[in-house]
Amino acid sequence: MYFPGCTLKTTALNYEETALAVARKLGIELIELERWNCCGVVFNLAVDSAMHHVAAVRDLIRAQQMSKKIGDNRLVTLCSMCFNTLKRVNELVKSDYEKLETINKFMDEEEDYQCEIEVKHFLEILRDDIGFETIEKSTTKPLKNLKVAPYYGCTLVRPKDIGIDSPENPQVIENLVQAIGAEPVKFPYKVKCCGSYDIVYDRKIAEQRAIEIRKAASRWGANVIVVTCPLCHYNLSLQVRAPEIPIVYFTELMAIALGVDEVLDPQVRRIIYSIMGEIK
Amino acid sequence: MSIGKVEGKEEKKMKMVRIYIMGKMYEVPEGLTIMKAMEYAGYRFIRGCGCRGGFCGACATVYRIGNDYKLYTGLACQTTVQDGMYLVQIPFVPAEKPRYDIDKLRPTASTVISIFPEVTRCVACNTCTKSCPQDIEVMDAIQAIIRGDLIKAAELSFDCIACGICSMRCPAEIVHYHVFQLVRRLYGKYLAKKAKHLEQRVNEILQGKYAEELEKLTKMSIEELKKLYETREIEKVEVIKR
Amino acid sequence: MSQVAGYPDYMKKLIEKVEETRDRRLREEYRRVTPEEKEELLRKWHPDYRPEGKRPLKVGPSKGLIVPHEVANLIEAYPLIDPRQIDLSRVDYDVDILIIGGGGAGASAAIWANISGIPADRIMIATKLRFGDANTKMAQGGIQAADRPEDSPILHFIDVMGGGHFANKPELVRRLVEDAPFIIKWLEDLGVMFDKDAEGNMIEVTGGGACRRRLHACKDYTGLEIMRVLMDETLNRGIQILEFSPAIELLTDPDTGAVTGAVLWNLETKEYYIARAKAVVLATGGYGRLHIQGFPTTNHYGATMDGVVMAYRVGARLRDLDATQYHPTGAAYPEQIVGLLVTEKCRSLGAQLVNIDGEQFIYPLEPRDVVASAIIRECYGRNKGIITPTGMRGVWLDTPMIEEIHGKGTIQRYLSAVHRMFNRFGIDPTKEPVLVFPTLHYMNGGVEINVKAQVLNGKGEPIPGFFAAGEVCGGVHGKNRLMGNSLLEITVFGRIAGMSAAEHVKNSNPGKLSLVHVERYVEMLKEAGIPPKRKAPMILPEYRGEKVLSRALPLFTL
Repeated sequence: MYFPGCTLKTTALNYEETALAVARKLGIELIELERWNCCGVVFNLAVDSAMHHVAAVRDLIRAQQMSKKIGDNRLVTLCSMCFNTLKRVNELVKSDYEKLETINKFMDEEEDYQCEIEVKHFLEILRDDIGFETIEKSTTKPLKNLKVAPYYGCTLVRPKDIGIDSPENPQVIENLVQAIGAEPVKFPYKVKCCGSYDIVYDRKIAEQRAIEIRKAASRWGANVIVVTCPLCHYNLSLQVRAPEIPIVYFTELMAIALGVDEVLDPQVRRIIYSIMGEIK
Repeated sequence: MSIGKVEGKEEKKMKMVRIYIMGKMYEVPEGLTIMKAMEYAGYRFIRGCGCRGGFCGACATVYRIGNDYKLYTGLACQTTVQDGMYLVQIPFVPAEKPRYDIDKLRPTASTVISIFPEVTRCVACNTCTKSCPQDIEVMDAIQAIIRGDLIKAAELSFDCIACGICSMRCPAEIVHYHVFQLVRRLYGKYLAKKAKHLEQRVNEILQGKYAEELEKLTKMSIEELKKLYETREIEKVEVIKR
Repeated sequence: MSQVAGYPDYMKKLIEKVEETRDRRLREEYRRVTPEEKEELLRKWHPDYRPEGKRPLKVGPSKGLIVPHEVANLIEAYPLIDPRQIDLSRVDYDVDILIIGGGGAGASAAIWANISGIPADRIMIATKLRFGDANTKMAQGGIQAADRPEDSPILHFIDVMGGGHFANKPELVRRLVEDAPFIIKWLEDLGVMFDKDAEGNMIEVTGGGACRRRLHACKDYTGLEIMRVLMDETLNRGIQILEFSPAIELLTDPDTGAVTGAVLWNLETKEYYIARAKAVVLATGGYGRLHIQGFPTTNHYGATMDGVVMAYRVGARLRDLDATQYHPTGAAYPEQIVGLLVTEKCRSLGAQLVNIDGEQFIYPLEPRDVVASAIIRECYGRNKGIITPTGMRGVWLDTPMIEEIHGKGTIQRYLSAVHRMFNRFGIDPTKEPVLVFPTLHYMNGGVEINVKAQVLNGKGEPIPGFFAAGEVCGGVHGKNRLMGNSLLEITVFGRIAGMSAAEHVKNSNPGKLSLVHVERYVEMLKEAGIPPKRKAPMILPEYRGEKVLSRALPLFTL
């Protein structure tokens, strides 16, 4: 089951399109939830405020309803922020029975949430269920000449108990990059926060981050930065005094490597192909 | 022959029920709508009564039954009284409509959100859907706007009669019916395909295609018109093509 | 929440008969009435044709005109106010155009007056209840316009004249049909969500008495959708609305006879306002709440014919008020919704009218007066109607046929108002037929206007500064309106009234204010020997329980 999240349907449409194409090529069916609502975006640390968890639990209930029909209890997201929010709410209600009961009672028009849904990020599916070997075998166009800086940001790997990899030195994107024939670049700021919502409140913070991350990526030899979250994409792409490195979603690179790049944004295709030395 | 009945004028020997209008107990005949029950009890509506048929949203009513904690909502003209009903009407919802020039707007979610930024405060609590007397999926319509799907929002919100109960109960203080009105106009004006045949006919008329014949018809005698009327060919009823 | 548990057992049994004949009836087309049969049917069974229900007017420019008693009672009534108590020297509202009535005609007039160059703050709509509380919102089925290649305004014209028994004013009908496509285009551009197919073509169905499919609809909430878009546009333009302030008398210039404003009355604070205007547009709608001949009605709470009363005192000529339209299919069960509209669109989509034996008795898409008469004959003449537990009679409208013909889900999609209205009371129109009986619906006649929407006096001359549009007018529909032409009338003539009023404003100055026409009218009433028993306009109907009224004391007015 697939949870898109609001941005994937508006400004990050290509992230979804390429992901669906890649999934299909690898034999996975990502079925969108029939009904879903905004997850709330940020896990509300004021855990007493049950109201702010209602939205996410409602989505878990939607997943629960669909899981009965398709017999699979995994809810997959592409946006790291949605991943972070949904997974942390899931863990919260799984561990706190009273909280779950309050929320279930409030949503008296829905069935009770039984805590059997597993929230996954698409990268986990690629690593654990498909395997990088399979991805390598399915690669028809290795991305030569691409030196990829793997940018994790924070919501994908922190806090430790819900992250999909080590919070200090994760490797999943590096492994993916290698599998599709490109060269991962080691650079110091791969898990540094992009600034997140500070872009709204104090723009300079996000700008500062963008400068540091792009400068570092460029200095360590990268010619493209790969991200897993539309907000990271937005923040890193800001107009700042830093090297103009293209920022792309990992699924966009995968789409080219696996030969399903018909849905790819033409501008992105142009940029990647020119780095590879081919004009398309 | 006595045809039909005039509302409220016929007393029936019916069972009585007890209702509480703003806390005061009144005994009214079973089977009356809330609106007619209030009139039976002596209230003459100035506010809170419009079409009396479920279309205008003037008679939004909120009530509980006996000791049940649950809050119910309904239209006074379409809801029958129940024994133990504790009710109040909400004839007006404070929400001034923002002014905009529809000709200058673009049909996007960001347009709607820039005029109604509070839409993004939606916590998906679903209280609006539970309050709606028209059984509209109000929250889903608001969520559709957040994710940019104006078409879905227009379709889901179509049956809205702007009674305002959802807006009174919304913790995020969204005024749903104003938002939906804008979305539906944007859809109708920009997103729905234009009817080409309509434009063509308008141009034909502007060029005077029918002027002469219509002129003739306005001067025709009744006998001639009758003949045209009786001999005109009538189209067959067709299945709707969707 | 459904509270009444659907049909009682004996009615469920009767429905079985309907189900038995349905398959056969799906392939059956009942033949149409001949002109002679139509004549006889109307004469014997249409409530209008009962002479005991009417009488000629005793006073005024249309003295001698035959009208229903309920109408005559209001017209031959004394004013609510004593002119000597009204201080006309202090003007509370001074505008260019005063529009009386906040329905579809009023809003259209306001918008087009603004488009024609009158600034928004010089236009004011005074309305009895809220802006938009009008019969417009309750119109369900559709709005007519001849915009398909297979159709033309010529055919539309002929349909309207025939439906109206050729008593219509031809030049008004011409305006109606010729402007129709433009009006639809205008509404489309405003953002009205008309039903369209995948290519964007309008989905059009047939109304009663029409020879082509030309009803444009917005599911079965057409009036609501149009009204709320017009309201949105009116408010966006900054046009002033004065709510809960009905007009109770018009004001005239004693020298020229022009209409120069109105006395408005705040329903909540009870104070009166003097509104002066260079042009007044009357858009007050119909008279359903007079319950003519004791019928229930589809009309909204404020439909009490105030405009006709006030206009008549000014000297306006009336016409065709003897022609009352009874909508053939008002709900007849359950009791709570008796009289409410069940749209003709059901019949356009194939639902047939069926008696207690499960048989058809009239072609469903004859003009409304024919169908209404046929239903009354079936229930009271042939005694083949169905009787409800409260003694109401009716016939079946076989709505499940719609699902059979057009596919499952049609009613929920395209007739969601009907679906909702009955489901609230435990009846599912997709599976069970609904019970219907004629209900008082529309005022065919009214104040006479010309093609510029100017109100005419007894001699047929326009009264200066006085315009009218919508249901309050007579002459457009003759003796019987076709479905879909009322939403058309309010927009076509609302627009014309707005534009004409704007033109008039540009060439005129504000006139003097007086109530001399009211004083003269009172003299006429006294001369005709009419006792001062009744007062008009009615403003709102009286529905309070008789028990309470008999003990009510008007101790002090809060």
